[in-house]
Amino acid sequence: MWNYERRLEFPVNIKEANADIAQAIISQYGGPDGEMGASMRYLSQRYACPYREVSAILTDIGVSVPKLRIWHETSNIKRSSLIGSLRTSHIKIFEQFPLREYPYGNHRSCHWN
Amino acid sequence: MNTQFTGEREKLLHDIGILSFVVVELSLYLDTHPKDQDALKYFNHYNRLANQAKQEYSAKYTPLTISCADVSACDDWKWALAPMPWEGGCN
Amino acid sequence: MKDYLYREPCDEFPIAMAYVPWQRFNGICENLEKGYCDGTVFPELDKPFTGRRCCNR
Repeated sequence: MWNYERRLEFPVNIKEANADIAQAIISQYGGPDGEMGASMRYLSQRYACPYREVSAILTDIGVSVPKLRIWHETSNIKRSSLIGSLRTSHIKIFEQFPLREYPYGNHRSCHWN
Repeated sequence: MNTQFTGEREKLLHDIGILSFVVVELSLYLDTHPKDQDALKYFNHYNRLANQAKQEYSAKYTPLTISCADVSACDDWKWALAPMPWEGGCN
Repeated sequence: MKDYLYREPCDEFPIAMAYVPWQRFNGICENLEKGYCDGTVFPELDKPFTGRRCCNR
């Protein structure tokens, strides 16, 4: 079971919308090479795993994926938008994702304003 | 990184972020090194600090998890009424 | 920043095998804020990707 924690993993302050970068980020989530698929694979591998330490690391890595940020477009143009951080598998994906600075890679590195 | 905080709430939330991050990092290390005593001591220390900070934030402002939601001193269900992270206020 | 050469640390290891050395615990970074920004609190894991390979910061 997982818990929801109502806060962002890293602080974010977006000044300007940039749909291209947002599309690049969202493309990292889905599809055959996407992070969500990887997360599901990590979590599925646990059941057949004979070693507890390995099950534990598979759980922690699989759970870290939903902690990646989701972009939400606000109703105002050029208004700063924030990232939501989730620990459950429920993720809302929107079409346009405004952002100026964006985190790249996995949850271990990011840049923000 | 911008370290200008507009108030105590932001500063506390920032501290919670850092402490929780340290806890996550140490838990990943301990998954593969479960008997490392030094790492266990560090984990206990930072886990305690992180939990204290989260309890403090949840008591003063809005609950961060359901288990931190204390409704004895107020009339409404703050967990549902507080803003979601993507709406702002959770930075 | 140190850039590991392709062959440098690998001469003494037999070929055709993959190695992942165990991490040892040497404490975490002093400045937690900096660790938060860098993405890791373990200084030995602070290896930003440079495009082709990782290097120590």
